[in-house]
This record gives sequence, C-alpha cells and structure tokens, in this order.
Amino acid sequence: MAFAVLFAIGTGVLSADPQQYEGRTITAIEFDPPLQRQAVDPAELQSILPLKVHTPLHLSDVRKTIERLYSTGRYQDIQIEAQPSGSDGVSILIKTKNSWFIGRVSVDGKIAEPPNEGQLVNASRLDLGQPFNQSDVQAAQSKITHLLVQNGFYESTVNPSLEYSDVAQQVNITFHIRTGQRARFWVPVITGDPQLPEPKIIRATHWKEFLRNKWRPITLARVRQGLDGVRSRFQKSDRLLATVELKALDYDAANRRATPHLDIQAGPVVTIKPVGAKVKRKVLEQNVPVFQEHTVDPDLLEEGRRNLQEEFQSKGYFEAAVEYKQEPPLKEKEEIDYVITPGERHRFVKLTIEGNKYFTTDAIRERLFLQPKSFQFRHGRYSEAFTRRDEQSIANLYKSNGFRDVVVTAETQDDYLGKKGDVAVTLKIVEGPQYIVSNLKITGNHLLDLKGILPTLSSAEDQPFSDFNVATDRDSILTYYFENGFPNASFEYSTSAGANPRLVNLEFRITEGNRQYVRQVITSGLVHTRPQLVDKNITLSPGDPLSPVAMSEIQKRLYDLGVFARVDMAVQNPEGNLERKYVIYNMQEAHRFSVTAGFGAQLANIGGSNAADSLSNPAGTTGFSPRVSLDVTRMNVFGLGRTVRFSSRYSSLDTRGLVDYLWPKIFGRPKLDAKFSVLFDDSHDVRTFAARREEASFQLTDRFSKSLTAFLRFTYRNVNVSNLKIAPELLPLFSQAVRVGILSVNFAQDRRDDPTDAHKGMYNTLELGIAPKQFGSSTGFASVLARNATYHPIGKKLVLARQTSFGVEPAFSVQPNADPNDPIPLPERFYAGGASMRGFPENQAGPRDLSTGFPLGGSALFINNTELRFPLFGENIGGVIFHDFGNVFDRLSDLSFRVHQRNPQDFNYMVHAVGFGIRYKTPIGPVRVDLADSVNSPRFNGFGGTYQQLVQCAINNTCVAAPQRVSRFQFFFSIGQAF
Amino acid sequence: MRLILITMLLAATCPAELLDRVAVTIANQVITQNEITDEIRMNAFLNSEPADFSQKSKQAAADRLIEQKLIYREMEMGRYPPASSQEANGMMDKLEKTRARSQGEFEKAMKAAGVTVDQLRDHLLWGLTLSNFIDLRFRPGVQVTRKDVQEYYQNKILPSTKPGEKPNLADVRAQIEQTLTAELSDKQLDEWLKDAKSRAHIEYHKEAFEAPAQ
Repeated sequence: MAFAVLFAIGTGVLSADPQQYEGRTITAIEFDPPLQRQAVDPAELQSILPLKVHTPLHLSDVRKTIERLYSTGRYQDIQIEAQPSGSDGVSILIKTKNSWFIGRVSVDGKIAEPPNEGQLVNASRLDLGQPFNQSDVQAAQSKITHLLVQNGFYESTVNPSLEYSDVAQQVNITFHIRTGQRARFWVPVITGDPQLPEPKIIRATHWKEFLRNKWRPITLARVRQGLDGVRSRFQKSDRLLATVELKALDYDAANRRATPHLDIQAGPVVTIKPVGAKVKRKVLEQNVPVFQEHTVDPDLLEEGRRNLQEEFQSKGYFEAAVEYKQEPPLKEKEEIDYVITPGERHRFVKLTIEGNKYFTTDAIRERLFLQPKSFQFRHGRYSEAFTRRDEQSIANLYKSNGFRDVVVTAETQDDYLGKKGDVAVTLKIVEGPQYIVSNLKITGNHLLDLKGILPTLSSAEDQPFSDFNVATDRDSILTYYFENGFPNASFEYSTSAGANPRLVNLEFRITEGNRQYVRQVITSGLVHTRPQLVDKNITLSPGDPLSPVAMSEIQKRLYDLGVFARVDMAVQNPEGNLERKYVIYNMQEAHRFSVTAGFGAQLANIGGSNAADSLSNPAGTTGFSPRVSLDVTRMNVFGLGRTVRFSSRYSSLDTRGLVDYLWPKIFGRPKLDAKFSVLFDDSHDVRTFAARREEASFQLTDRFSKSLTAFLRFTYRNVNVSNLKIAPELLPLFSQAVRVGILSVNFAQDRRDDPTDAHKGMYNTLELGIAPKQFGSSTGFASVLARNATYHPIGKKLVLARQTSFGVEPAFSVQPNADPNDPIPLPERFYAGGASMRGFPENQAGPRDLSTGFPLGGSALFINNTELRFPLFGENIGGVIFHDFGNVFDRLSDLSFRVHQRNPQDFNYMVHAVGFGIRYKTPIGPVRVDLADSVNSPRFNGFGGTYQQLVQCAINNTCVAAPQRVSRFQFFFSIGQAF
Repeated sequence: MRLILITMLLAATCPAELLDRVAVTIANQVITQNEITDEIRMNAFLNSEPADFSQKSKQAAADRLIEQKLIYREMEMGRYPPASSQEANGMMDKLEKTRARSQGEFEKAMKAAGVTVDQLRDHLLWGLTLSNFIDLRFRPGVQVTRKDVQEYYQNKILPSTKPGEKPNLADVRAQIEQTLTAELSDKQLDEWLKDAKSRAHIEYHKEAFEAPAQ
C-alpha cells in the first residue's frame, strides 16, 4: 500500500493548492541556481527576502518575495516551489531566471562616412547598462537602417548578433552592416507655389555640382543644408514666410538615385523697413525676430518694437519711441513699417547711488548696465530696459544677503544742471532690515556625516537669511549626498520666527533614501590595451559608495590615457531596487596609427644664397620657403598607452627627422610624463652657418596644477657647423664640432584664457640650463631664459598684449682654443628676430661678424613686444599695431637701452620697430601678416665679393668693406599670434 | 520505524509544488499567478458567480490588475491621496448586510469562495481609491455643455419614458450632468489607460496562464 502511494507521487506533479502550506514552518530555503550563483549579491539577497527559515510560511510573504526579487531588476522570471518537510514543515525552492543588460554596442562592416560608427551606435538607442529586451534589438535595427537610408544607403543591410556574458549579465550587441553604394540626388520635383524658377531653386540646394554637372551623393547633412539653402534664397528676396518641405525622397534602385519631392510655398514678399530713422539692415535683422522665426505674428512684431526701442535708447536716444504699422497684404506683398521717433540725442552724464550702507557704491556699480558717458560709451549707456534690469539686479543682490524687504527705485533727471540733453539717474535704495539666521537645525542625516560640508553652508547661524542662500545650500547638500552614494536624497526646509522679527529659525530636513554601493567595476572593449593600464585608473572598489563624481573622474582619466576614442560609463540596472550595483565602463580603442602630412610656407626676409662661397645678403632678402612635413604616430605601444612618433620636416632652410617615445604617467604618477627623443637636424636658419645636429634627450614633465608645468630635460647633442660666413681668422675657432650635454629645467605657467589667441591672462616661462664639461660639453656654460607675457582686455573688443624676454648665457669653462671673449659656441648662442622681434629678419638680431656682416648671436638677450589687438572686419579679421624693441647682446655687461648705434661695429643697443598686422582667424589659430618699420635698424660692414676673395684680401689686409644696413622694412607671414 | 522511513521517503520523492510565480510584468512591477487567482475569486464572490479559471478569465483578471498597477504608480508619482480604511470598512459592513443575515454567515460565504477579510477590504479600498483618482485626475477637466445635456435628454431620456411621464429638462438637468460627467471621466480614464499601457513594457508569462485551474 505504502509502496503504491509512493509510486503514484513519483510519477507526476500533484496540482498544488498553495493554501495547504499556509502556516507551516519553513525548514529550508534553497535557490536554483544556487545562492552563490544568484544574480543578486548573496548577503543582500538574504536581507531583502521576507521568507525566513524557522518561521511560518505565509502566501502573502511568497508574493512579497517574488515582488522584491523582481524589483531588483536582475531577474526576468521567478517561481517559488514548496516541498513538505517533516510532519509540519515545508522547504522552499526559489527558482530564478536572470535578466540581461545592455553591454557593448558596436557596428562593423565597411562603412563610408557619413554616418560614422559613433553615429550608428548612437542611433540604436541601446544604452549601456539598461535592461535588455529582444524587441529593442529589432527597434535598433530599424533606427540604424533609417539613418543609413537618410544618408543615401538605400540598399543597406543590418544584421545584429548577440553575445551573452554571464559577467554582470551583459549582452554585447554587434550590428553587421553592409551599406552598399550611396545614392545620388536627382532632379527635384517641386510642387506648391515656389515663385522662383526651378534652376534657381536647384542652385540654392547645392545638390548639383555645377562645374561637373553631376548630382552629389546624398547625405543627411546635405539634405538639410539644401533645404536651408532654399530658405535663405527666399529670405534674401524678402519672402520671410516661405516654407520649404521635403515630402519624400523616392529611390530609383535601377539608377541608384533618389528624387526629392519639395513642397514650396513662397508666401508674400514681406518688407520690413524703418521709417523716421536710419537702421542698418543687419541691425534690423538682429532686433526683429520675424527674420529668424519665418513667421509674422503680433508677438514677434511687438518684440521687434521693444528691441529697436532699446537699441536707440542705448545709443543716447533716451526718449526714442517705436511703433509698428502692418499694412494688409496686397498682391503678395506685405509691408511692415517700424515708425521710429528717436527724439533728441542725450548724454547720460551722471549716475548716483543713494541709500546703500551694506554694500559699497563700487560693489554695486560693477553690476550695473547703466554707464555714464566715458571713452568707451560716448553718450553713456542708458535705456529703460537697462534701468529696470539694474533695479532688479541691485534688489537681487540685497535679497540674497538677507534684505528681503529692499526697495530700489530709479529717478531720471533730464537736462541735468540746466544743460540740454544731459541726463542723470539716481538709484535710491531703501535697504530695510536684514534678516539673520538665528538657529540652523539639520535633521534626517542619519547615515552621512555632514561635518565636512557644514562650514560651507551659506545659511549658517548669524549669517543673512535668504531664499537664494537656502537654494544654494540645498544644492550643496544634495550634491554631497549624490557624491556619497545617495541618489534619491531629498531636501525640504521650513522657517519660524526667532526671538525678534529679524531673526529666523531655519530647519533643513533631509530624507536620505537608500545608499547605493559599488558591487563591482566591469570594463570591456580592450583589444590591444593591457588591462593593467586601465585597472590603475579605476579608483572605485567594491563596497565604495556609488558616486557619480568618482565615476566621471575615472572616465576622464581613461580619456587622458589617449588610447581610447570613446569611453562610455553607466550604472547597470539604475532603476533596480538594489543597494549594490555594477559600474560599467565600455571602451573603444582609437586607431593606433595616424599619419599627418602638412605643407606650409614662410614668406619673409629669409632669402639669399646658402652657398659656402657666397657672402651676399648677410641681412637676408625676400625669400619664400615652402615646407612639407610628415608625421607618423603609433599610439598605445605595447598596449600600455605609450606613443612612438616620427616627425619629419623638409624646407629650403631646414631638414629634420625626429623620433619621440612618450611614456605618460611614468612610475605610476598620474601627472608625470617622460619622453625620449632622437633628433637629426640639418638647418640653415641662421644665415651665418649651416648646422648639422645630432641630438638625444630625455625629458620628464610634471604638471603641478592646471596652469603650472615643469620640464626636466637632459640633452646631449653634437653639432657640426659648415659654410661659416665669418672672418677667416675666426674660422678655426668656430668650425670645430660642438658637443653639448645640458641639464635644463623649464617652468611654464599658463593662465591664458585661450592659448591660440589669448584675450586675458598671462603666460610665464623660465628655463635654466647648465652644460658643464662633466656632461660632455666642449664649453661649460649656463643658460637662463625668462619670458613674461600678459594679456589685458580693453572694453569688449580690444586686447593689449605684451611680452618681455630676458636671457643670459654665462660661460664658466672655456675650451682651450676658443675665443675667451666669445666662448659660447655659435650654434648655442641666442638668436632673435622674426616673430620674436619684428625689427629684424629671422635670427638676424645682435652682434655681427665685422668682416662679413653675418649675424653671430650673443650671450645676452632682452626683447619687449607690445601689441594692441582689435577687430577689423567682422568676426574673423582682426588687426594689430605693435611696438617691438630689444636686441641680442655680446654679453650681459653689454646690455644697453641706448637707441643710437655708435658705429658700424656697435650692435649693443636697443632696436625699435613699429608696425601693423592683419590676423585672419582659422580653426587652428590666426593667420598672421605683419609689416614692421625698424626705425633704427643697424648698419654694418659686409663684403662685396666671395669668401675666397675675402680670404685673399685678409692676408694682404686689403679688404674693402661694403657698408650695408638691415632693411628698415620687414614683413612676416605665418600662423599663430606672434606671442 | 518503517512508517517513519516511508514518510521520509515520501517526502524526499515528493515533487515540489508550485506556490506562486510571475505571471505579468509591467516595467519593474510584477503580478503573480496567485494574484490573478485571488482576483478571479474576489470577482466571483462579489458577483455571486462561480469562479471561472479559464485562460480567458485569467487574461481578463490580469488586465484588471495591470490597470490597477498603472493607476497606483501614477498616484504615487502624482502624490494623490489614497482612500481611507474607514470608508472601506463602512462598505464592507454594507456588503455584509446585503449578502448575509449574520457576520458568521458572511464569513462562511467568504471562506467557501476562497476570499479572506483582508483581501475583501483591500479590494473595496481599491475601488474607493480608483473613484478618488478619477475625481481628482479627470473630473476637473470634464466640461458638460448645455448642448450635451440637451442631446442626452433628447436621445436617452425621452425615448425611454412613457408619453405623459416625460420629465422636464430642468428637473433632470442635474442628474444628466452628473451622468455625463461620470461617462466623460470614465472615457478619459480609458484613454489614459490605453496610453499608459502602450508606454509601459508589459510582458505576459504564458506559463502562468496555462497552469491548471485551482
């Protein structure tokens, strides 16, 4: 009998009536998969389950268990089973099926841009860390296909493949794309009422290349630009209400072209003109929003009226009144007149501020728009709108400091002091009482200690009470909570009266919510990069509070490695009701090879023969030096974020090959970078000699702060000079190879707002070098070069820039056969001229050879440059006027501010140059053309013949000097500001 | 001893029985199989019908519960006040009086239907909550015009009354307005529910609907 019963149970599942288990004692709780392989951390899992061993089973708890487990977001299915245990017990089995989350989303295939890979991935709208649903993949596939079609790929195929990873339950999705060929535009079909001939519309779209008479390939950007082009065309002919709509792009597969269907309604010609005063078209377009909004309605016309009125008032017509008259449309023409009555032109001469005790007058003035007349504002800056704005601005200033009853009124006095047209404004402030926080109570902060943030709160005891301060404190406190793993923290506040009406008791009530922690940091996307390079930069560990700030900091560090094109970060399962969350970083490695080719040119007084025997043009002549460069960079060498770069440059003045090995964050120090370099250089940029340089160097760069960087560098170089154009008796001294081993330290402090085109700030550099014989130098010397540049904005548009440079090279250990008066080897001396000092051509400043007139450089340098930079035409063309003075000197003791040259052998005086320049802004910096007049450029003696003839006449002491002068007028053409 | 061994063997070889499982998911909320079963029982009890555990009935119950979850979520986000338990208790007393002669008889009927007191109270509370939600969320936006009232009077009231007993419009205006307001509010609720369902990610676990009736 018992056996029969057993057999019956063993063969099938009894249909369960769950009620039969109600109240039984739970003897065991098992999981399938086992607890250690569950999707939720085992410790957290145990804490959230309502079912507990040795407690009665309630079906309501079973339901709650399912609800809580599901709300974690980590399960897609849960089922709970029961099995009798003993006479009155039940053992529970919780069966789960994990859910999945989006991991890496990528595309592969031969994809012709646009769109690029990033755009295709973004189009999928599959976000890292979000719950994964199969239906989302189909939707993503459609969106990617749609983007491809928009870019002319009508025959593309998109096939997704999924890779499931048990690590953090991620699904990596790859879309395999075949784009096919891109379609081209075809003749548009135009419907509606275009009022323009079709050829003009087509021309406005730029969809056809008119030179080659060929239709362009379709891209999304081209479609949009085409429609905008047609709209602009109508705008130019005052059809401000024109609408241009692309109804369809019909694809013809046989010919691979698509016909745009454009519906164009030209609308009436809308003429907006000022009456009663002259207003430039550009000013009208800026002030009347009808031009931007492409519609005419009363609100826009009214806004235009107000804007024009303020425009006139701000120019001194303080009583200007503007009205608009809109005539009914007549035969496709609509006229809108802005009737302007400017009134008398006034001058705003005086601004007085009265009643202020808490704030100084200066502190209030610097916040005001109202400005009495000055050099910058000839009629002063006044309008009713400015006055209202300033009243509000002063009131806000007081209110944010506890004066919530402050009243600010402006009184305007016309014909001030009896002078017709003069206006004075008095801003009267009635401060009222200041409300003070007498007591601040913070409640609800149980889990997080606020000691660190309390001193920074604005609403502290005895401080002014204001809504503004409370709002600031709210932001500070909530940010503090978010940074420490409380994403759901909330803040409320309440006030009550203190001991007297001016005192306020303030209470901040914080609801902390659940704290979230890092379960684990998961990285993916590494192909060539070694994991340890990434791991070093992951500063979040399991158990740390989940801080978005720390996450962003890690993302920034990963970008700074320079090996990743993209670093996506996310908290996995953000909506899940769990304390511990995975933090995901998905990286896309950048292309490791890059090749850059460039070409350029220099046009200046750099010309003249380089031949060994030629002594012509010691001060240079107009020359054009084209230049080509080729750089090949291999990034992420060894997968460790290092870079090898080969740079080469070839021009008529310079041939160079350079190999760098960059090792960022050396010794694990995040701000310490190292660089090994080997250089070969064959240059003739100093006309006196040709130099062949072989150099090796090692440099450490330490970024102390955002603005301060230090470089420590050891360089060893061997320089062979040839084609020397100096007095024959000096040849033996200077023609020897020069060996230099120099240890230098360089500090750079950059506080400019924009390094390529600074408008304010400063830039300082200090370079100190020592080249003793112990380092292999043929002559022991030291080198100091300091530069200080400052940039001062004047008004909104002018910039006063100046730079002072000072350098000195004392020698302390002279080569036995060197000139004791001039021991520093020629290639190691200071040379100046060109961008550094526009009174001279490139490298032409300073002492010159007394026989040939060629520049010799010096061991001291002082140069000052001053520029006034201003806009010239529009946004991109600017001008400068400049004054450069300075020179290179034989030695420090020869430095002089004298402006007159004593004789043709005297070069130790200050040369001054003034000039004018044009700057054209480009994305890589301004293109620069400078014209300088060097008012006291040096005279010198050259030699009219060849070098051989010089040698001959020197023997016989019959050389005849050829007096020459460095040209007064210099011109320079280059990229980048002079300094 | 033998009996004990046999009992233990029985227990060890007893297949596990399903207590509950996920039946429907709406975003990160879940409706379990037992919830659907309880809803069917409750519905049957209140309608004095036998409980129908067919697939169609389960689907209908699941849909009702989905709507309930969506509305509760909306109420939580909008901080709408819930109905009070006192009101629910009052309704329960009324129901008891209409359905049974004594409390004991009422409890016996509930037990026979598989419904507990707490479940009934929760269900009545839900009904009141739904009513509050409609009043606060949709009713203020409903506007019944004179034309609407006139049309209702012409098309619904007059045809259903005997000649000679036709009421005056003025007498029934307030009643018509109330009826129309309720209808329009319900219509807005239906539209809102349709929209909410389309936006929510709802997944049915068909195993839960195929399970044998209990």
